[in-house]
Amino acid sequence: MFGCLFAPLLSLAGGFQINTQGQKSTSMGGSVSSVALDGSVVFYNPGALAFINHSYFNAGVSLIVPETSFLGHTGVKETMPGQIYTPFSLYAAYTWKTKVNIGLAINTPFGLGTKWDSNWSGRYITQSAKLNAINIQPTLSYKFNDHLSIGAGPMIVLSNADLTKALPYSSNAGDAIVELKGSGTSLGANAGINFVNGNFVVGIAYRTSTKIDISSGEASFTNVPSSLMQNGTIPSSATFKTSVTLPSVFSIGIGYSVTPKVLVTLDMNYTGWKAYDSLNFIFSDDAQFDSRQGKNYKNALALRAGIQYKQTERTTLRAGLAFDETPVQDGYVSPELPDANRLICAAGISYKLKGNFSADFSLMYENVKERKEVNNIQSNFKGTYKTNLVVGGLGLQYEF
Amino acid sequence: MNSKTIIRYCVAVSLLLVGCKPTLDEPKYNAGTADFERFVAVGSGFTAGFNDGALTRAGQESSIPNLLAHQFSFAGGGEFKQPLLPSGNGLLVNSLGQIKGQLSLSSIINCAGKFDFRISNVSGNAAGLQWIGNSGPFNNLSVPGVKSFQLYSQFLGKGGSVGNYYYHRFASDTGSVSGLSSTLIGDAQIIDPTFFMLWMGNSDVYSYATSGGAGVVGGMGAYDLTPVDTFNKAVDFIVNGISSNGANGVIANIPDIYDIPFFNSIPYNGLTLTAAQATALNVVSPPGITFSAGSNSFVVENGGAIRQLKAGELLLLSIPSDSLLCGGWGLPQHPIPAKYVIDSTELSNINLSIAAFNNKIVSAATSKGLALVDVNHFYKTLQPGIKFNGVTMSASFISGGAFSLDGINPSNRGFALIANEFILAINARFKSNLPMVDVNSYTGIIFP
Repeated sequence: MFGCLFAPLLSLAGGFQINTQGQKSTSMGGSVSSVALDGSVVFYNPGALAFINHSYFNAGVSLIVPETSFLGHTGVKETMPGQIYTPFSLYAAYTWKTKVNIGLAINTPFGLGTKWDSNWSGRYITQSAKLNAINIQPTLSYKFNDHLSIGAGPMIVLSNADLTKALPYSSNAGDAIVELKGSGTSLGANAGINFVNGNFVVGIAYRTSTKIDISSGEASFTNVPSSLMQNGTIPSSATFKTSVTLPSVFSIGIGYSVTPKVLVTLDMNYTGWKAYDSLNFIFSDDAQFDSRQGKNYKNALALRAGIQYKQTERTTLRAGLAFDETPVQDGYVSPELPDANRLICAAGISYKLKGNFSADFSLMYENVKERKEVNNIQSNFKGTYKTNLVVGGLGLQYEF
Repeated sequence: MNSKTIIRYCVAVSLLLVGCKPTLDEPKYNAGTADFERFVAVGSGFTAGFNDGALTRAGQESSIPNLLAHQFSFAGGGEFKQPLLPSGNGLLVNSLGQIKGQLSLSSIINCAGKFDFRISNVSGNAAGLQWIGNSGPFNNLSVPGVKSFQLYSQFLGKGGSVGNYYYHRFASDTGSVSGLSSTLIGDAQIIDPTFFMLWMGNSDVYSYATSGGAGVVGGMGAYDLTPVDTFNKAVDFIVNGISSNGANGVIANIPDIYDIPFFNSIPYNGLTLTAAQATALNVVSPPGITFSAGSNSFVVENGGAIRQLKAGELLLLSIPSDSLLCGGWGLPQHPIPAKYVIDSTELSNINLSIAAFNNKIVSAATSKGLALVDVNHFYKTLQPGIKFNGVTMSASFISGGAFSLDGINPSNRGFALIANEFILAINARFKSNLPMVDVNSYTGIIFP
């Protein structure tokens, strides 16, 4: 019983990368690593930052509305209660000197949230899982000439995690509950290069992996049968250590201006999920709670395509499509974030307001493929998952 | 951009989204070549829902047949009526009609001054003995303690020392007029079953085993090991009778006793001594009994003499725990009484009986084309523990969660685990696709 106390607690899936880091980029399926559409270029390709001709402030927020259902081998369909997640992004991109532009990104490139009914059939695996990571990235970009530029910046990532599940120790008041909470700061870097030739652009960007060390996580146990507290089976609280590596992302994109009004883009991302091969919780005083579990993620590819059409001086329309491969292999699919290959369609509008302001709207739909787990190696939790996400985004831009 | 374009654009996007709308369809269940319409279960305490040392309403509601009937209802199964007790405290009744309730766990400071669990009976509910045989017919004809040859005994419904009070309470005829009661198999046939489950033979072994081998080998008494011939005849009689109208079914075999916490929780060499204690004991011990520092074999009473236990011999969980812990039991001065010991001869008798009975069960399954549940093997997989939806359940007493507080009968979660073994066997044999029982929605051990 003890061995599985902290069994599969946290699963970082493809969906744990949040690809809605700006409303324009979202509308184009995230296919923007070769083009500088607004301040989000600081994040998507620091190398392209040198090619902006105006300065931008962008602020945006996305409303992610997931719908996840699970059909287990007991034949009962369970659906996560409705939730809304709101990743945000703030960008400043400033045309500083002839050849040098600077920028700042504050955004949420990683994060996850799942919350099942507290009494659902997988409650001993997870009741809720939440990971928030805020990235702060100051950036400098240099243009060698009208064709080539580079850029880079450090990433300071502030993370916190909160995981809850039931424990199979019951009294007349029901199951015991454990909540694990922790936070950590980590460093990484984001760099890129951009090449422009006439109507044709190529961008290459690389974000390093970053290892979040949670050195003093807090586990709190509630609703524990009093006898098990008295005989020392379960403490009321304990401290633990863990670390999670957020993966590197390599992107290469091309853009082509078909006409002055029409831009098409293609992108490929390669995410180094292989770095996430295990998740270990080590308890300082209660070694019996330690858990080491294989995750065995594989590197994953995403392909993206986007189109932008400047319909009038005031309005720009965008649309995009993407295919996002899951890093989670069979045998490791679990309900903290049941992942599968995704098909993404998106669309959006930008509309110029008064003065230098404009507004961006985006709408994205992610169809996460139905995924059947025949035998989860950690938990023996079997069944079929199906997720869809609808993401609405609203952004405000000031350009000067 | 004019408003018309915006509207068109929004409509297009909405259509795109609606077009991708997901579904996760619940599967269609079917019975395959089985017919679950009228289902009866025949067996002993394991199928009656007896656990925590008594028959309780909660245990009955989690009984293996009741769980199966619920899964059958997805594929044509009909009503499943059990002879339910009133809710509240349960019923443990002996042949004298004396009653107790189920066991419950409480925490105490034990005789050694340490925090410990205590297991004790709550008071019984006499209302449970009231006759409800006129509200049948019942689909679950399982009677705690019933032996194979009693399944067609015309005395069983009479209660008292000749019968069984657990059947007396719901027998269609208690024999008060004719002197002969209805039989379990007869009551089962009233249902005219299309499908049956049969798990018999457990009491033919366990009454001998739990009494520390108080009975004889090949006898029909309360604590005897049933003669193999008698058992074989009973199986044929029951299987033929219950399938006479063409019903198909599922049959389960008997687990080995050493896979059960009641028999394996106290190690034979659990007597821990210091070097000084060992030396002192060796001075006063009779010849042949020696002690050394560390773990030592307990001293037991055996055929009027005393000796130390040998590896493989079993101590029963019924030993008063304070006597073992603080009363000096297991030392030469206080040998453990024989009724708490299964010595190697008794264990061999038990193993031979189980093997013979299981042979018969397999051949009955084969000749009748029944699904066979190898519970004997399943109990072996429970020793390291098996995982269901993130929870590991094992055969460890109390902490393992699969067995109830009496150490012999499964907990409600254990019932659900076994029910799933039945479902797997049924699905495999009859090409049905019944869903699994959600084991974790049933109670395991309730801690104070």
